[in-house]
Amino acid sequence: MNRFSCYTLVTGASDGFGKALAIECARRGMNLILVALPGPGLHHLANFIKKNFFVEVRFFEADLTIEAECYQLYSNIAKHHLPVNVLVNNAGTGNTQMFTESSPEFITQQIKLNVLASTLLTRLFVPELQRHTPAHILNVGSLCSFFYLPKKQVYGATKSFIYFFSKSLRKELKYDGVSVSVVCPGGMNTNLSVSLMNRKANFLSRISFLNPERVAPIVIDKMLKGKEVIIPGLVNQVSMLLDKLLPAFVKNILTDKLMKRLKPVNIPTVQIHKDSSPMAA
Amino acid sequence: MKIFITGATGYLGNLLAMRLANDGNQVHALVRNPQKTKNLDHPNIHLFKGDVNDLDSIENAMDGCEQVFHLAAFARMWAKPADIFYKVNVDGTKNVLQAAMEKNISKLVYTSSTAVFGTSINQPLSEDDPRTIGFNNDYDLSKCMAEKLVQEYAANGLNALIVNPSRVYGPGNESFSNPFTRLLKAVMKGKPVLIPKCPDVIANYTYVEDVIEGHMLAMKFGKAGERYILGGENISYRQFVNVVREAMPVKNVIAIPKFLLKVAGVLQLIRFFVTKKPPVFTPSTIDRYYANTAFSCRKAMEQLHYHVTPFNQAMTNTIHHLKQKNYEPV
Repeated sequence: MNRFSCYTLVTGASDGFGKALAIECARRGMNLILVALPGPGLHHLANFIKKNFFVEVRFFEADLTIEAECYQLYSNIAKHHLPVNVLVNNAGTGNTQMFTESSPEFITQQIKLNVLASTLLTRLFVPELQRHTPAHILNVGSLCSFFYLPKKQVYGATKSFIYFFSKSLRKELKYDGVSVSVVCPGGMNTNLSVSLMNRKANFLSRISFLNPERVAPIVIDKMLKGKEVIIPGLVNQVSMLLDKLLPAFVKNILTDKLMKRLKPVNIPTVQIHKDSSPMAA
Repeated sequence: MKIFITGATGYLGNLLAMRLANDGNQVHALVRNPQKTKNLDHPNIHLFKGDVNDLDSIENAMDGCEQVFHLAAFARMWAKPADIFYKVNVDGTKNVLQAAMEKNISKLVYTSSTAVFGTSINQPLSEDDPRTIGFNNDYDLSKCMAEKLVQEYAANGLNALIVNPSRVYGPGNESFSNPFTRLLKAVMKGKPVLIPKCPDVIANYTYVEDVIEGHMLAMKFGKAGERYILGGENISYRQFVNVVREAMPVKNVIAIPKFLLKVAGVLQLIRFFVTKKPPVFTPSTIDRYYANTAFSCRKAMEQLHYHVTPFNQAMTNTIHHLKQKNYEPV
């Protein structure tokens, strides 16, 4: 079975970085299995990719914060006899919020999605990947797993898990023809509210923000070349270098300053009739 | 019928207001400065002083109206601070929607732009296709946020829908949104045509009369919460220049490479920091001119009975119209 009859599974594919990764894979002739929460976006993306590229596209709606749906996804794909040779664990939730201001429910969901779902899907699909070598796992981490940032405590910790997990697993699977890569992107203009926050940030943060469609080709290219850690963007690479060079107290001052300027913004939504004040999106 | 309109001093809004007035409607136009408004001189057009950021002024002007056309927008490539994009395009739209809800408006048409769709790849984009590029400028982002508001109000019972015109050309007043008239005038004066150095990149061009008719049709046949691309033909820069060349002499065509414009954008930003002279464009806003932006208006054609005038014919009309206005070289 060759590369062109296998499928690339992308989670969190309906929007943001996942969408950009999926389109980039399609551009390279890779067939796709798109996974995202129920909603019209996934269906429209699948149609769009089929219309623009000569690849097979399947899509499955699943809420990966629910363990049972991860198992269900795996068995659905097995039932359809879809061979998988690339797994992209992209689904994740980010936030910029004080720990005490984040709801316990949100934190639980975030850990379930960012940590549990990625780990579980990897565990379920590894045997499948081992059968279709050369195979790849791409885990989406974050640049913030290298910096200890306020308002990113849990998020950063989940991404540190992904980083550790990827690098360790890579050592186990490298003799089986399964290459594990972890991408640590900085801020990206993914969805509406993140883009708005980025547009309103200061100049220095703004130049570090990349557009997902610019990042995706670099990432897929490096993943296919089997690179271990992928850090897209010059500004991000420089900040990684500074991280190694600067003493801890200087870094603390810098990260504090940066995070104070980065304020989450709410997209005004509708509260119809008498009260017209914007509420949280 | 009484019809409320915003943006009536702009390129599209002006022509639409005139069309509505000529059809015998009473047009309530919200304008910021009635004294300075020259191009709305018509017995059926009534000027109301106001602003989209002033809800009371909107409600006052909308009083007794049945339908609303909301065209007012901050349409530029750059502004500092950028908040004005969100203030006018998002908060302003929210005010118009809110007023329409309170005044029991029977139907509202919101004029967005194909800019919200981003760029196309191999096939023309249609209404359901996802945006495949990030939001790297405030105009696209603010218009997209405004569309979300229209859809939310529509989901909450307001009979509101969205139209998305592409690059509009044709006779009309010369605003920022009408760059083609400026371009054609420059050609008539013997100046060279400047095009991006990617002659095969395809874009969608809409004849202004088609867009105006499209607005009328959207008001008549459009469904709440839907959006409709009001476009024209998809043609390359090369074809664009060839059609212009058939209608009038073109001295020479200068193709500008992307990096040159990027450099020019950076220089303009530097100049802004030194002299405070606002840039015409910035490095991030020129990307779209070097990527395909092809659109399909099948949905509008099927559901609104929208009609596209062939580019050839409409561009020739436009050039003749300009020539009649004595722009011919002496």
